[in-house]
Amino acid sequence: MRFDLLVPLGLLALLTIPVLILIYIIRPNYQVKHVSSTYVWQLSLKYKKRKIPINKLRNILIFLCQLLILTSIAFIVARPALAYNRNTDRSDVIAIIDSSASMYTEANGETRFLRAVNSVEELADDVLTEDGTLSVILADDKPEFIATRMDRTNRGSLMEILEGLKEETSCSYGSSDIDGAIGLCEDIFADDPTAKIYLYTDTQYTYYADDIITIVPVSDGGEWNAAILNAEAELDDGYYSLTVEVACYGTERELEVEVKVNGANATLDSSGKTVPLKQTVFCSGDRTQTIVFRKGGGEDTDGYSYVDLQETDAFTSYNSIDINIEESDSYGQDNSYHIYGGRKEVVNLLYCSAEPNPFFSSALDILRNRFMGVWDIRVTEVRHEDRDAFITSGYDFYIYEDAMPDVLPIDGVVFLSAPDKAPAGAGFSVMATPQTYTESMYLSAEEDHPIMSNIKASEITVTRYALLTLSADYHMLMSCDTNPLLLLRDEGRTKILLMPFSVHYSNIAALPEWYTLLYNAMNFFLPGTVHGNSFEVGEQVVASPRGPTLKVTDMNKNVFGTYEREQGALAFTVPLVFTIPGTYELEQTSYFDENYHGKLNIFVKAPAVESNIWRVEDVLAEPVIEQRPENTVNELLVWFAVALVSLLFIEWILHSLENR
Amino acid sequence: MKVSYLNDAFFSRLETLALNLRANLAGFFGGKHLVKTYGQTVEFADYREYMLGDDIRRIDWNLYSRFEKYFLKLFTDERQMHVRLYLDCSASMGKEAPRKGAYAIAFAAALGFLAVHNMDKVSFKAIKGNVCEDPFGTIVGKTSFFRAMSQLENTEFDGEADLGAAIANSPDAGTNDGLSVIISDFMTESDWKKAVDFLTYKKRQVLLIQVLTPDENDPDYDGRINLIDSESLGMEDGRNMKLRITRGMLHAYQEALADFREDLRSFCNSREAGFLSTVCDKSIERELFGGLLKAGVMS
Repeated sequence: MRFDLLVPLGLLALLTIPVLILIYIIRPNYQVKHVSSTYVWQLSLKYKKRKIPINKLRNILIFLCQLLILTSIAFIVARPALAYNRNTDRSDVIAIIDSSASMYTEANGETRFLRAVNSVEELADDVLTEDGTLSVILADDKPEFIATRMDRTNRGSLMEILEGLKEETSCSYGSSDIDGAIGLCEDIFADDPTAKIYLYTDTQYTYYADDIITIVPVSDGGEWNAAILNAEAELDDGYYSLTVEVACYGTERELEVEVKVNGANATLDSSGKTVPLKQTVFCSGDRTQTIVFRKGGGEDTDGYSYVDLQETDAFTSYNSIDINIEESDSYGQDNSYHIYGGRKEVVNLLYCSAEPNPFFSSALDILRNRFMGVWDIRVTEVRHEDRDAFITSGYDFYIYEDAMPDVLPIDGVVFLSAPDKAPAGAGFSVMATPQTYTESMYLSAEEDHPIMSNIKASEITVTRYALLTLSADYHMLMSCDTNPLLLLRDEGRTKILLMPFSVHYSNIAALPEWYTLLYNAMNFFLPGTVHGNSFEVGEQVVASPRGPTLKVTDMNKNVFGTYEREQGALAFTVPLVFTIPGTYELEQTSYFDENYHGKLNIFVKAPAVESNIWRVEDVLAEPVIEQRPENTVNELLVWFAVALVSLLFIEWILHSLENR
Repeated sequence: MKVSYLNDAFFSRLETLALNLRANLAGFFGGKHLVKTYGQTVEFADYREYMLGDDIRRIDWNLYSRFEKYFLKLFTDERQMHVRLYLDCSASMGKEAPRKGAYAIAFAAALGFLAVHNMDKVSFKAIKGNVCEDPFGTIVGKTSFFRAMSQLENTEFDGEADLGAAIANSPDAGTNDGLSVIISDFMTESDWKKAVDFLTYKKRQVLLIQVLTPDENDPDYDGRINLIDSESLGMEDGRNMKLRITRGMLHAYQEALADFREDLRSFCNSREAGFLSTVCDKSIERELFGGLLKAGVMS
């Protein structure tokens, strides 16, 4: 698109500008008028002087207006236009290289991705020889130009870029956003609507704009893939059942799935045993076959195959489960699968109260069941009258109700409910007279905090609570009459949740908020680190470390990242996005034990959809191209005419002002 | 083109009028103007006791019979005044606008006619430069007046006029003996106020008549104008002006002219002098019968 003049000779009208200037120079400046006396005129100057500078400015503006008017007329005569034409000597070609994991499919020692790059090199030769330009887009999950409108002068650079793509890790292990890559091409189509797209992919498309897009298949006819699509272990009647989904693409085949359960049924005395399992399943027609290993087996149905685990093979816990298919297929990224997290860490919870309180007991039962997949919560319920002294060590989570210990535990989280006094080091004191009301008083939320998630403070009422004097830095989460009713202290190893009222003087125990509060407290202080243990490349994994630091390493012990909690941050979460499949180890510290280095593994795999190496999609997006025939013009006469009329109007206004 | 207002019809319309001069003027014996002093007319004025040396023929014997005292009967006096008409003969009065000059001459002639018509003496003073010329001397009687009028019409307006210097240096300004009239446009840098002060000092009754052309009263110019002053000595003279005349400029001119007139009027009021500003496109009779009557100079 460029500015053009259809009748350039029209610019000769600009010669009127010197004429205008000449007129200004030679025009009779002043008309001579003989008068009897100029005495009064001299006097009148005193009344007029202040307006003289405006007059000069107006004169200049009038002259400028006249210049612009003549210029506008000259351009109108010359017929200005925006010309949309392309250089017919040069053609714009865009090569999109699919960079999804399935492009790792290999045949004859050459991956599809490598084949695509080689083809683009050949295309580059052709295009540059014909004096065209070539742009290259690498289409992974975030497609981008790696070369933009390279012509024969940039041949060396372009070939260097393409050569760089032949390195082993150039292709991604995730999915590709081909539609996004097509969208990127619109920038080039804006300049050259006749540009062509060459898409190098292994995906087949049923419908696409074949006049704009040329799909260059990079698959080889003999490629096939045996894949483990998904696998998971679930507790079922006290034993784990293992579900494995497999499929075979490009051929029909009996697949032998080998499973190895490591550290099965470990106890305090033994590290458990290794349980080998095996099952053969016939896969055809790209259909997914599901194998279920469970105690008691099941009835085989279409697509489901059950393996009955004998007493010796059934397992109630495990360290890891390795699943493999020993096949020499073309795509090796999905031939093995790993499941971690079969052994739960123990959380010891102490509930200490003067009298049995079913509200606490039932809530703790629910909590234990809720966190069953993450923690093995072991609750110890004691009455402090039964003991000589309060228990203040050896637990991960302490709940004290009514009667408080003399000292605060320092090796775990402390939840204080309706304290009669303040433990030493707690940072508060309890006033002798509690605040009482004859009618229920509603609470109000004070701070947006993870512990207050899904809790409606305005639903909670109290009739009596203890008045506190704070001497430490507490976050006030809920209040009543400006008095704190839920406080949080989160400093280093001091983790206190303080509730200065009894559930007996409140409706909180009858509301879902009671369970939610305990759940949030547990989740905040002892988070599950990650939800799940297998993820796909490109998927965001949010890790919530239990301590102040988190270190992530890959299976080769290379550090993926080290993270620390920021000073004063309300919570500590780390978003992780993995680009290479494999097993990663998350190592975290604890606030309460300096020597603690908790480790857990997660498995990152290539997206299951990439296992289908002969995938067929329905529609490929088309670039939005402003349909404009070649060498057209968009005349700008109207705009120049509008400008001319505007200038004439302005000049008329200035002239009328001049005579005032 | 020569313009003249002076003809028989013009003068005949003036015969019913007379100058109304102040009574405290001294004047000369033999006129028609009543004055404050006692004289020999038949119009009774007052009584006073007889004093040695008084003419016993004027004793009122009727009063003597009643009071047995001698009282004299006093009569008012009538005096002859000397009207001096100062005519600004500078170029601004008529070089570019002959009608303005003719109008001024007509005004002077009318006042002169009223004077001789009432047995007063008249002098026409032509102010040229800083000199007062007296081309006709003192005129008494209509014969002499009309003879002078035939020449007055030929007055030429040229050069500059310094009203203050000319009148103050005039050897025949008179003292307490009548009316002095200054006819001019007063558009001069010279100190005309000095002339008024001088005449007031000489106990003359003073009247200022400002004559303007229609263009001077309400100019209708537009655009870029080079105004050439009729008294200028050349194109480069500082009195000539190059102006872009706009509505704002004309408005400023009107403001300046109004202030100028107000300055003349207020100065005349402060010196108990009469003032009349007229435009020469107005009827001269209307100005004489209206303007001067209103000013109290004519009755």
